[in-house]
Amino acid sequence: MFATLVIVFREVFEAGLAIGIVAAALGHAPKALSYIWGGVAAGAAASLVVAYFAGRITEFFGGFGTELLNASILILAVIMLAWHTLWMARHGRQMAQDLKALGLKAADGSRPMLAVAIVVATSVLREGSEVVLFLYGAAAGSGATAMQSLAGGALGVVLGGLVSYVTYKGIVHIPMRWVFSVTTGLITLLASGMAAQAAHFLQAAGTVQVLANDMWDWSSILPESGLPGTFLKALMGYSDRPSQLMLAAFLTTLVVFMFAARMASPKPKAQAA
Amino acid sequence: MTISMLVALCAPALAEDAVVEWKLNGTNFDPPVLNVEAKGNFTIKFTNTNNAAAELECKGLKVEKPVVASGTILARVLNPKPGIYDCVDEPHEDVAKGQIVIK
Repeated sequence: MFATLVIVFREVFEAGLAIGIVAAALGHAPKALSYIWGGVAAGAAASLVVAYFAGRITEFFGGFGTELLNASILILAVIMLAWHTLWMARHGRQMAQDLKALGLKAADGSRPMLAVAIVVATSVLREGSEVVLFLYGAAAGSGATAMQSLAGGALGVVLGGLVSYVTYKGIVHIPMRWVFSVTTGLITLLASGMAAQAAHFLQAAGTVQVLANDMWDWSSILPESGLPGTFLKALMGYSDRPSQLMLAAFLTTLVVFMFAARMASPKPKAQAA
Repeated sequence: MTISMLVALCAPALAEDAVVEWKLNGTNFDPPVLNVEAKGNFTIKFTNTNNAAAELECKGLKVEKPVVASGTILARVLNPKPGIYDCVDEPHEDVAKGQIVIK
């Protein structure tokens, strides 16, 4: 029961942290909740499909279909986060000022809500298919053991959801003048970590073979299986033994997001004399 | 077109890898200790003979991959360094343990 609880908790928290960050970035956008929950539902449905065909998927691409599917999902999520970040850079600061000054919901109908829903769906899909596989396996077990495993899984979902919700509430309680910068920073870290993980999957599949040496080994200082390591992995794709390509992907995405956000951000208007 | 290009890209890497076979029977790894020579990247062909999904996890080797019931997966180990690495079937990590020894 405890093993299932830990596995499911970790998977739910990893998805929940990403969802919490993008949900906090949405603030009071119209229909925000519909898109978030729509993304969760789509991701959960896709998880069932992927879990059902897991045996087939892994056979693709010479036995590395799972790795290439994961890399594709992560790259799609990075592109969607880039789209949303560019939009936020263009409109977010003004929106926050309007909210503060007028106490009204900003008219942000042009916000790329589909991008947010896709990020949510991909986050659920990445972790969800494994959860489905394990819980299905647990349910197929015998009597009392099956029930204990399923109870552990259910508890893991609840606890993972709760910790994610607390994280989300923590972000949305940040004062308005900082919330734009904080959510943009968190999304940039999230996207950079996803790019690093995509690089790992491409190397694991043998698709990319350059920059394969490890940069360092921090497994004895900050193992990725520990609690802080798990948190950092969910937030920014932490690996205790990153390859050169993973680090390059992380840093490139970080710099591109920061540069793009700065370039897209409107210049302050000159004050009238 | 894209698929065939990806397969072509993957093929050279896999052709160069040594392949070692490993099985999971119940909570037992077969063999319990897998000996591998450190001659470069290698691929583990891992078969789960159980009727429930498993996950091969070898933290020190950056291997973490689920395998369906009665299924087989391939997992690449990149830049292996000599040493003893603990592996588990994650859903049963308390009891299902094996080791990879890279010489």
